[in-house]
Amino acid sequence: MAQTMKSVPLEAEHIAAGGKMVEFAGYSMPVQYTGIKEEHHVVRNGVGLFDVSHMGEVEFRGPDALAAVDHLITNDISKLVDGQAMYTAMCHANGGIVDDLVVYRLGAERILICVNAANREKDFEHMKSHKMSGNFEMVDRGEEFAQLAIQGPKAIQVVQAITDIDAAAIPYYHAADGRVAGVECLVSRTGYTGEDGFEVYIPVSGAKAVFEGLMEAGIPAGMQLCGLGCRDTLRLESKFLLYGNDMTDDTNPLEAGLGWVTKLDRDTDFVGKSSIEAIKSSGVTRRLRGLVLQERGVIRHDYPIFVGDNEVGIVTSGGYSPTLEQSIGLGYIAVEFCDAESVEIEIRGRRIPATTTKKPFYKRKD
Amino acid sequence: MQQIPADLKYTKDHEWVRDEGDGVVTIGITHYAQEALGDIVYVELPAPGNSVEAHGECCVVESVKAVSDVYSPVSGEIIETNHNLDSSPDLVNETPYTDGWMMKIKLSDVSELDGLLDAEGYMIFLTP
Repeated sequence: MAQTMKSVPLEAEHIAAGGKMVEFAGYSMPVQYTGIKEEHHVVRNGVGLFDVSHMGEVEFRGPDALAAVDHLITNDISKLVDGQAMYTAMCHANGGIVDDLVVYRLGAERILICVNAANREKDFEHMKSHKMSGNFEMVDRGEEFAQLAIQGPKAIQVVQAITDIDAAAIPYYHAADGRVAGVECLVSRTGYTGEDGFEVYIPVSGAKAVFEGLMEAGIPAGMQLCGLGCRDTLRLESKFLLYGNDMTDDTNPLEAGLGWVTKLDRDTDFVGKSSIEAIKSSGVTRRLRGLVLQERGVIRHDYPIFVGDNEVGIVTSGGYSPTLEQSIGLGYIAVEFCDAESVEIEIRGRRIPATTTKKPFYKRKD
Repeated sequence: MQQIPADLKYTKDHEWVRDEGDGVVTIGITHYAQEALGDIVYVELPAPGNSVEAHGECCVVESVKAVSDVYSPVSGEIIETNHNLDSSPDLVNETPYTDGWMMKIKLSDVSELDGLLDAEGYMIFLTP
């Protein structure tokens, strides 16, 4: 790749902290600091700090902003109250997934959408080309924010130490405006790890102050910097899908298990609705399933899945679960075989047994 | 600072070789290699009795991040593998030159050892 990597506002801080930098979605990002397993356990048992500034943000503003977003997404935005967030898919007209998003209703006329780093340009173009007419504007705010995620059972004590907001009063999938380390931020109780935690949207000019404030506030809790490596193992254990692996332009929300955020019974004729209705009535051809390898080894992306002599599917995410200490994965299995309790995964020419599951591999105790 | 024991030989693929005498060598991967791989969670060892070629794949190492081949530094017959790695693959991270050894090979051509890097040569190879 001739083009140079983009950097996040805190890149120098990551390098100084010993972050091992790698290219991800065109950005130079820390994949780990001390080690993926150690960072993983820190988030499960204490608290970790992630820089997720590579994520993009798009804001819709104006009297018709709500309707304009509703037209683009599979989930029902009318259910949101001010300050509430929602997970959703955004689809092509043919029902293929453009991206998965977190949508915030900041106000009756202000909707903020957090999009995946790799899809920033694609999403904005899609939103533009499917833009309904109305009284609103659409603004790409991706370069305005740094984003830090504080994740783990002790996240709340770290955040509370440096904010004037009552962090405990922010319910899961809600957000509040407030000062963090003296900087005006949006503090969201969301995450991609399966633990309690916060994602803080910070104006770029305040990124360093918030980062330093969090690092200091995190000392009593034993907070550690965490990289994208454990972000992936944490999300996989929690069975959170990854765009580009478990969802692509060629997968639809029903086969991806995103029926719960695909609201077909509402009046809005959102982009992709009629295609998804047609898929629903004819039935999906494959379904995403969790996989747990029954022998030593590691499931990886693109490994074929077998039932008997039939090749029935393909792994879309795979790896090692530091919590379970065995390999887990996600993969699409042809609908005729998707209820098989055991399958085989071909690893370097050998077929290794795996069990299937519809549930997350890990669920936190509340 | 790289750990490069003076009594071992090395390859540009980041394997190390210890000459045990009697035409037998022990091999493993270097400190540099284990650090680049990150947390190792599985080592797929070959069966003793198999023969290997110099530069041929002899073993697979899975880290949390990725899967990587280990290439045999020498040709010969695998006479023993380190079964402690079955239950503790992280030995390769913790002590790559000692408890993290991978296999012993009976050399088919002792002169292949002369083509390997010594500690100084490997250090120069690693120096950017």
